[in-house]
Amino acid sequence: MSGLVTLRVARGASWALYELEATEGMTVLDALETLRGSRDPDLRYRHSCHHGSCGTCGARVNGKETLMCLERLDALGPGPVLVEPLRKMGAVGDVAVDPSPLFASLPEGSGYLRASGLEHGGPVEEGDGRGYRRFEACIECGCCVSACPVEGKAFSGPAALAMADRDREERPEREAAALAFAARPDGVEACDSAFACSRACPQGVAPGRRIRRLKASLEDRAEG
Amino acid sequence: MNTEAFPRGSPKPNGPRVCVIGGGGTGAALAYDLSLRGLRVVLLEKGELTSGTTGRHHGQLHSGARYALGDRAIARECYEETLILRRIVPEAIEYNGGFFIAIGEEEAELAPRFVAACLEAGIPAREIPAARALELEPGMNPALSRAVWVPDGTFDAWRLPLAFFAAARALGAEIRAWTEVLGLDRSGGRVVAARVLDRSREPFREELVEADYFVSATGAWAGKVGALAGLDVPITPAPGAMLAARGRLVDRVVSRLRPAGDGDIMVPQRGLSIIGSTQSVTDSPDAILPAPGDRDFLAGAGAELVPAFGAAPVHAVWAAARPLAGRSSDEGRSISRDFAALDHEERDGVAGMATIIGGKATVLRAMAEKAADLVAAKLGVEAPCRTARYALPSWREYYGRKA
Repeated sequence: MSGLVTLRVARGASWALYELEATEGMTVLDALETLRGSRDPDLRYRHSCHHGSCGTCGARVNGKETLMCLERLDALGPGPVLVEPLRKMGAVGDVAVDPSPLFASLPEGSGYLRASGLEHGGPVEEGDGRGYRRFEACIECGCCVSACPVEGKAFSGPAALAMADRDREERPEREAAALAFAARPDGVEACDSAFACSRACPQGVAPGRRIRRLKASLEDRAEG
Repeated sequence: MNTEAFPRGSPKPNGPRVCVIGGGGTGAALAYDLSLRGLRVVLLEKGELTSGTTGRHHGQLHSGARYALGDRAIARECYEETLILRRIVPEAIEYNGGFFIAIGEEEAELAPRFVAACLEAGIPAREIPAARALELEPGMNPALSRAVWVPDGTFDAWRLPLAFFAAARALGAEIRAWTEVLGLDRSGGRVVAARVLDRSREPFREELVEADYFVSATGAWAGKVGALAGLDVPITPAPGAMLAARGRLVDRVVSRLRPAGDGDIMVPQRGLSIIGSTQSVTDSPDAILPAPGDRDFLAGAGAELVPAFGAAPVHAVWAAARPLAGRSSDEGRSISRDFAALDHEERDGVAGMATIIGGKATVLRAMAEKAADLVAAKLGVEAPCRTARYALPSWREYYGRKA
């Protein structure tokens, strides 16, 4: 898609309609930035890093959860581009949400650094002695939570359970805490195994697979 | 210095009220610093927190080596700040070190002078034999002839500042995102109130926010905000483009061993490799997008540092407006990356307001300290800066567990 693009942006129960000239490589976030900067200072959306690392610009574009900063207009089909806020978050307005429900769901004390996985011919100099480190793949964007079809029952959600599983993998001393988190009534038992989370994750975290791993560990423990 | 536990449950600040304008990294660190000194803080940000320049940073935790040849004082400060940040917010930093690599004779000849400059600035840089450097970081260009190790790292440009916001809020600071300053009211030669539009809920409301002192921590927007109070603030918004490729190709930050220029730093971060940056100057910092040509230039420059970068799929291309202190008619590299707290009473005869100009992400805490020292002196508050002492709460607390 290039040339003139129509954006339908959620505004309360209705929509705000915009037309703009898409430049080459323009993302949905670039389009909102252009609109806010030139035409509509009231337009609200969250954004920070613009390269898929912070996780603030999660939204539903044409009905699918995505990061607006990575969603190029030329990769979307013809017709108006629908931009809506993530589900299951607090409301601010337009595309902007309050991500408090997501952050409140995460298991307390989860680490965020992990082994980098790259091969090197020697140790990192003057580090903390734990070797080469990198951040977790999960960017806490909430796309998985928004896509999850589980409704009407308490559920800690795919982001929280995936983080618990990653945490115990990286830090074996957290195994018991992670399994206790997964075993709560709102834990893995509340998951309907729809795997919408894994399809929605922009980072390949595959929360559905992580929930399955937690379930298997809990079953092993029950049998053992 | 030892790192102490975050002082939870401290008495709520009851000192004079300070209004911080700008919700980027500097505003975050300033709101925290002032709160620790017992001042009441309200912070105003027109959009979401860190939606201006802060979050778009490529994430290099600068050891200061990049500035050592040009300005030892800035280099020294960068290194002191990286050591502090590694203590107080370790979970938001990938600390793996960095290499400056020389490609070609001219860069190779610079190596001894570069190492000496780093050492003079207190940065423990040292040359590593080229073959050994390539063993340690096999993704680097095998044509490199010399390599200098430096204590660089990567930080999460959203999570690190958000930890400061979490700390400020835990101490009672009122953080108001989606609240734009439309005007600054003066009375008797003093800034006394901000007229704001609060878009955090509907219907939007106009409101007057009164305070004993105002600090503009608005980075590249400082010229615009200063103008609201009738002040002429010398700031040059300097857009820079960056490119992220998919794949973590190195663990260390890799820089070219030459005077700072375009496309000469590669920063690994999560599963990405980021090359930065270009630099130009502009009048307005709003809605900055990459320029045509940035993508190809950056992809080529990245491949010179790490050859696999040339074939890696492009993840994103974006741009941000640096806040260069001063004015420049050229591309802006000649303007220093130093910062200053402008006292508008002394400078312009307008009391009750200061502006932080210049600076860079790595020194956010130091910028806040300098500004908070000025505010404290103006308001007769004697409490010293304590932000280097305490481990910060997790960024997750900002949204997850509201005070």
